[in-house]
Amino acid sequence: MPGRRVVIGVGNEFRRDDGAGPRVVAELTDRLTGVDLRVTDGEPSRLLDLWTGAELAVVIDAVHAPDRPPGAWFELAASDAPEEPSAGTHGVGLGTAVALGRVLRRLPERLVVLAVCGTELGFGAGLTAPVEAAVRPVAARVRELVAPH
Amino acid sequence: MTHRGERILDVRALARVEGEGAMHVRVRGDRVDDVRLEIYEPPRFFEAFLRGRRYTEPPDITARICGICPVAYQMSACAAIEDACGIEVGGPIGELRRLLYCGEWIESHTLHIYLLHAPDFLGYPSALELAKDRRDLVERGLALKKTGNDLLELLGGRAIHPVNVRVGGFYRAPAPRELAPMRERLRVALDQALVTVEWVAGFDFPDFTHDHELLALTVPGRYAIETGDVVTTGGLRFGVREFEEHVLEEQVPHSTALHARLAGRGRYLTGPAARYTLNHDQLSPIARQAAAAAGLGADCRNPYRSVVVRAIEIVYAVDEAIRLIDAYEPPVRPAEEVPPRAGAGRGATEAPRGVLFHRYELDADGLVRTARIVPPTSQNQAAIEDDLTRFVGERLHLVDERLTADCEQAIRNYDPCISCATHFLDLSIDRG
Repeated sequence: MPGRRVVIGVGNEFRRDDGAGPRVVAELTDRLTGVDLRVTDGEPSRLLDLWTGAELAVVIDAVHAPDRPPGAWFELAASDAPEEPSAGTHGVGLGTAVALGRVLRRLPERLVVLAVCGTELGFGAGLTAPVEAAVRPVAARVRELVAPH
Repeated sequence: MTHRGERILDVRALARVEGEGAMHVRVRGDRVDDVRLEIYEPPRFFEAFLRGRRYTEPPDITARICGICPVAYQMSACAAIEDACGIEVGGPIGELRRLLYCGEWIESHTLHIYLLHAPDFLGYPSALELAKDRRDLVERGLALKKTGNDLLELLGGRAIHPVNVRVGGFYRAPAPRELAPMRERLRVALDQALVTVEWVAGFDFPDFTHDHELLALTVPGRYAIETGDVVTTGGLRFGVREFEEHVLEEQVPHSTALHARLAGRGRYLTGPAARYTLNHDQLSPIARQAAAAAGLGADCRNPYRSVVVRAIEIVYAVDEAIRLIDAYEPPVRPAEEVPPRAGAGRGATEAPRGVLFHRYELDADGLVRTARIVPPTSQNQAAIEDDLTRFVGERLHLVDERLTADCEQAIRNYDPCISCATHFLDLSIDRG
């Protein structure tokens, strides 16, 4: 029997492209079985709580990457996570959560981060068009990742 | 850096506050010439966003202002809208709201103590470095915080941006048996909270006090959280409906946040130290005993000791949650009917960081005509700047790097919720 699989959308849907993670989770709602779908704001201890003990955790987060086009997305393993890859609205984020999880031995067996390049992170609802266009392919990649092998 | 008699400290990002912002300090000779906190304030955006929305929507929308204190936004919004509609919600629904709020206090205060503030006192640059040396301490904090999270999730439906809160009460009230396992966890949390008080009481606190007027809600017979009148250490007392007559906000050029002051009086401070100073007699016996053992007197005017007050408030919130669960009787219905009517309503509650005021003006169809939100961090801004002016003035002999680090710690004393009040923080000090 497979262990727990959790998909975590990180972000704030009232900060434009920062809402990419929650938007992908909304896209997956009712389309995945046996997978825990969660949304959070990136605060490290909440991330630790969500992924501790999981066999697989897939985290979708917006990133600010000026050298990449908006809507571009890429896949990171936990070992790739830089100290602060997140473009979230809090002082400590995903990179801290991964580092803290490592020190506290509270990382999931496998952690995959899908980082979506945002362009507008100010106040407002709704993703920009290029980030919205990335939602379905990112969701498709999540489905591949969580599919039982 | 130092330029020919000018001294500029520049911190591009202040770590371990909730969000982002900026602080500028200008020094001329041996005098602090100017201190400015730059604040970019989300509530102003949300005020505009709320106009034209249904009167039922502000609790859910304003909860998105902050992931750390969504319950505070929901409770103040509900109180203001219910006031506008002429409905008073109390009894078992009010008690359930207080229980939910206890969860938020536990979570928010524990996050601040263990992950944001304790590293300052223990000489670590971050909670991560603290965890490398003292995994046991950080694990204890995370366990205590998780109890708060889980209480929020139990009543609110989820831990961030709870979905079970509505104008009039809740969509669903729990059965007593659903609360029983949480009671057992709270018993464990009470021990963790008491140990936390002992731990932080042993920190080394710099000798620094202020004389700001302190402002908090107060209510007979209990430590004010979800309701109350406003009182100050200067002897003011007024109802929440008179809040805007006494608390004036003014625009300052360096900030999108408005600066609050008391009419005819000036700056003031709200938050844990104000609550403790004004209401410590209302704490439960175990919280009072813990406060006495921790060496807290009748008031708290050293901002560094606010970490002890937060720990005391965790003890109180855990103890109060146990009491509320023991006394819990499910409401007959989970929410009161709140039909809309034209009018204005005001509500204020004690967010973990201090008084959070909301006002809504509704039309006869129940649409929001105007909204106003006054978060605690913008109320405290003038007092924080005043403290920093004195604080820096007493430390001009320090090298820039050390002075900057000390300023960061001083700001963290107030646990500024930057998600609510700012997007924080660059710090620059200009020694002219």
